[in-house]
Amino acid sequence: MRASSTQSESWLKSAGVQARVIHALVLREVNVKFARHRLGYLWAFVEPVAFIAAFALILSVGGRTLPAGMPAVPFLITGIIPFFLFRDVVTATLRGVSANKALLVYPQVSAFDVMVARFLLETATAIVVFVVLLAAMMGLGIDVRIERPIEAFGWLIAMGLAGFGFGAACGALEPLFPAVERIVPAVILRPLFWISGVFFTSGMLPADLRDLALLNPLLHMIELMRSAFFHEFENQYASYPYALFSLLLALFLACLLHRALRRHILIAMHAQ
Amino acid sequence: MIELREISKSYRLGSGRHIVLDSVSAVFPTGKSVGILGVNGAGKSTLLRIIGGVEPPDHGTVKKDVRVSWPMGFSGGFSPNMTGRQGARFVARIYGESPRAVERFSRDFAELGPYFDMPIRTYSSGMRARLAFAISFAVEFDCYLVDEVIATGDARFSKKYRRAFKERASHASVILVSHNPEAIRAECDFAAVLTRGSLTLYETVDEAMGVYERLMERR
Repeated sequence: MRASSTQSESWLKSAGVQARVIHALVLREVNVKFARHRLGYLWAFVEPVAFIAAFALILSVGGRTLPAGMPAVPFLITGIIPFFLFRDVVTATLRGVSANKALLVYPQVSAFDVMVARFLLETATAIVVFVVLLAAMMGLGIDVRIERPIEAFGWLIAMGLAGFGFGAACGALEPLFPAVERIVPAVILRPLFWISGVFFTSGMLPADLRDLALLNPLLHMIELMRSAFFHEFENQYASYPYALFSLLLALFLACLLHRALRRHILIAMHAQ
Repeated sequence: MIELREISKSYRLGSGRHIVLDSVSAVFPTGKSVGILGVNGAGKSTLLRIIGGVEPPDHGTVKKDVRVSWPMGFSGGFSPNMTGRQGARFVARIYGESPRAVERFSRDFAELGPYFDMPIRTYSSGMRARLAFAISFAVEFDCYLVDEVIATGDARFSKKYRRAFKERASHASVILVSHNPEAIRAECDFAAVLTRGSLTLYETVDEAMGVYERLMERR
């Protein structure tokens, strides 16, 4: 009895320490991300807005209509914000450790904590950007109504979590294969932008291409988010279990790799 | 008390392995400062990181019943983009201390002036050392792990540091790793020599110094 109670106490204590560390890391990351430029917060909006404007222009010039008459700008917002969140979490977690190597001299700070902190900050930023863009549209007199808001935001957060799972798994491999840090953004993230349904739906694809595209879990997630967002859009091809299973698999893999490679990560960090 | 039990550590080096620590056991009593002497590359910094819990040993365990600082070395343990103030607040948070109190104490003790709000990458190594000591004093550890850093401060600051350290010497000790015998003579109650993977403790600093000097001659 006694042994088990002290064990759970020490578990609680170490969870408390970890929460403290992640809190400190998030505050530090806020400084790095935003405080360095006076317009740092504005930058979080510039890139997505530029992409949304560019693709809205292409859609209108190309004269393409979206399925179920979804309006173009909200359609693009619900593609670009979640995808950029995924991409930014992956790059932030990948680079997080080399950018914070000096902080690993504190025994309570682990590479995993650094990645969690960066995930939290990126996800919080994306939620704010998403809300502000929707509010701005309403301000412009465009009618925005979210069909199932909790589910829509849930999928946005799921995109961040997927980025964390994938990025943290690659980040665990980075000390062993340093090339990962350059390969992942160029070889994986860039093509993913074009095949994840950011500016199309799977229903717009020819059948054989569609089957191939649906191997990509991000396409499922973005489509599920849109079906929660738009009253008009009925999801036909995206699968709830496939999206959730892929998400859990990525998170599981990330935890497993960090656990298994813990010593390698620490040793590689200090060898440099 | 800090107890090392059969600590072994080796690094892969090309095709072979370089044994840094070979089943090292030692007890460092609370309140006593110890200097660890060793030539460059003897594994002093590795030993310090293992005591600090930053790097795991291949075998063996470290038992600690006192609050031990992070290993303070040349980098000081700060990201180059943090300012001194942010560094102080960060360290306070991860050790569960009040960020404001630590920030104030560090600002006054480190005497960095306007540099306290500049990124640490603009600091000289002496300034970085001053910041690290100021913050670690503010957090109040029982045992300070120091990697040859004291000599980098200027004369006035080392005096101040020594005075502050003496004031709390009754409950604070230092494990000082150095290849500079003078620093160890000034700081430590006893000393140890690390050579060829084994650590030998001597009762007085002079005794350890003699062994160390003979070792240097043989090189």
